[in-house]
Amino acid sequence: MDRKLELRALRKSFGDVEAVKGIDLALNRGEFLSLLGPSGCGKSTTLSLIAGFLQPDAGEILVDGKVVNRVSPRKRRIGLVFQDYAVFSKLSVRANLSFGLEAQRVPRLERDRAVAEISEKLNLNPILAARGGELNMSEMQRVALARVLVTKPELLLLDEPMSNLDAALRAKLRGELKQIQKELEQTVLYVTHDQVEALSMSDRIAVMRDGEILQDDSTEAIYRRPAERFVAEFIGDPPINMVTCTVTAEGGVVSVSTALHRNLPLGQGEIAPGQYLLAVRPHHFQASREAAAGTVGSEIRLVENFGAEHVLHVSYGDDLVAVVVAPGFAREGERIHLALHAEQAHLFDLESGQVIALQRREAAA
Amino acid sequence: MTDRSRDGLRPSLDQPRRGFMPRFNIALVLPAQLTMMAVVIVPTLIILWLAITDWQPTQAIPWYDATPVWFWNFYDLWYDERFVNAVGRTLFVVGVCVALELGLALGLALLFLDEWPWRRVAVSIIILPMMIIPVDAANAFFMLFNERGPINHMISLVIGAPFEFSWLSHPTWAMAPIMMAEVWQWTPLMFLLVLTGLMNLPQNQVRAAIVLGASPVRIFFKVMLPLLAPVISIALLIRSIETFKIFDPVYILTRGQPGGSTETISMFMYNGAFVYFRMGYIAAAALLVLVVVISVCLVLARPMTKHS
Repeated sequence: MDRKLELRALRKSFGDVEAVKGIDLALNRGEFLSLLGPSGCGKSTTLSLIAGFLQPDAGEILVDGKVVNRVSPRKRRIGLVFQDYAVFSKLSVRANLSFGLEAQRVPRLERDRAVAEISEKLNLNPILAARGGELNMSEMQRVALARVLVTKPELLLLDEPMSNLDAALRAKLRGELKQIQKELEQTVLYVTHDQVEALSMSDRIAVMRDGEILQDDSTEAIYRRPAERFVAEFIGDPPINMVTCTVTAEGGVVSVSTALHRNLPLGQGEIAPGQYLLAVRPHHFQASREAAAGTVGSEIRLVENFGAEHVLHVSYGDDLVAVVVAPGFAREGERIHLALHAEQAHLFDLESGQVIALQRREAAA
Repeated sequence: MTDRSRDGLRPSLDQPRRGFMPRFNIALVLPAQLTMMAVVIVPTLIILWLAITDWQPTQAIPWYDATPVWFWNFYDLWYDERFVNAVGRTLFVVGVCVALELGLALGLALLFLDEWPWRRVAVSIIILPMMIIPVDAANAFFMLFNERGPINHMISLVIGAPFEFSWLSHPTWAMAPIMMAEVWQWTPLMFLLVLTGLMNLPQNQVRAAIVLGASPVRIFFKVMLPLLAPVISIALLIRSIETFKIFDPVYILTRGQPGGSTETISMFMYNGAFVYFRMGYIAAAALLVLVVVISVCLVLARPMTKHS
């Protein structure tokens, strides 16, 4: 594979605070990788290191296989879209777009052609004459993106580019951004704290916390096979349910008992019996009106209406669990029967939060 | 919030309580108003009166009994070469000094934009001249530019021959030490204003320009300078008004001599009012200057009013 970007044991501290604790990350040509994590996890510091605004304390940054630690940010050929877009407010949109090409001394004709092409693609023609300071947020976002794309950067870094937009616009732009990225086969490193953005656009997601990458995997694997409790909890909407459970292992078969469900077989594995955490996505509880084998009755405490689906908050021992159902399925205060798809549930260590590896009988969807 | 204040549950800001408050407000501003009356409005009215008289305190008539000459003072001023030259000279000083101050301040401020050791100490040292009493600063320059002072001494060291030049009594060159004193003393203020402006520029626009591959010169002229324009125009306005009133260095270094060749407007008015005691004539000059200053200010302030 063609490595566009590689980080090797990258480290950065600010005084006593270790912001980035020796991370490794690789990004292939044309790939869309999201660096996902809560605020303060070190993802923006990582971005500044890659762009060259900060110098790492240790480790290497490679672009196209060459170490660029000592290369000035001016020469790295890395495109960067800032969270606040940083559109040059005193320059016209046209001047914004041609700024990078002028700086690289691209001849005028070629420059004009490139600007015309990108403003066509990103629908900027109507505002070419407007000044940067007069634009609204979504126009600024498009200008910031076009200004970078027009220079055909080796690598495009996006720093939470959606956080200043309202929800409806965000959903629309997610699709547009992904489409442009695919069309240009642009290599993208997307930094975000929003798991929906990460899931919907990325080929791969690296989940970061406290300066470390917890899991770096395909989008599918991040969702289906979280390696850490934190990853499981951070990804998915509504959030994953965590219930304490007792594990028994007999003849290699691991079974769990929760406050309501008894002796659910999870899979094969070597594991010490005891207390663990069982993680079940709200979609992996099955709610029914009628009692059946494997179901347990419980009371609905709250119904959240999300339009296309409803989320029931159902008593589960001392806790509540979220269960996704079709709209109009049940009302608050009613009793329903819950089944648990144990083959899609995950077991995490109470102390370390690490996932317990199990061999599943089958990986049914 | 708005709803609550509208339904009358809490007193809203746009409906102040009547009665007690207005009187209290008046009581608060009255001392300031009276002071303004005493030091601005009354003297202005007296000047308006004096400007149409030929009153001189040496005539032993009280000012209110002076004989009106109506607009002859203004007619005389128009043909008074000494006055017209003083106005032109002052405008020249303003233009050159303020431009030099801005150039120096921009250069210095760019140096101080990056973090380097002893930066804070260096800033304190750079702004020291501003804290010195203008008369003292002018006296220092008087000594520096003395015929046998350090400046001539250093020049003779450099050229390797005795150098004696009486800067302060040369009709053309006497203005140079005065302007140098002014620039030396007030570049720090310009520097502080410009540095504050530079430090408050949107950092990401500068960073965006860097990653787009722009050279420092291009970034300065295409990104930073346009963003800095409002700060620069305010700095220019402040310094132009101040420089227009330049007095201390002129008074200390030359008193307008030789032959009135360094006379600025304030020096001209000082000489006219307190050396020749032509109060009525100088009052008319002061009124004219006021008109000039206000016009200059309006022109310089125009970009700012347009901004909002």
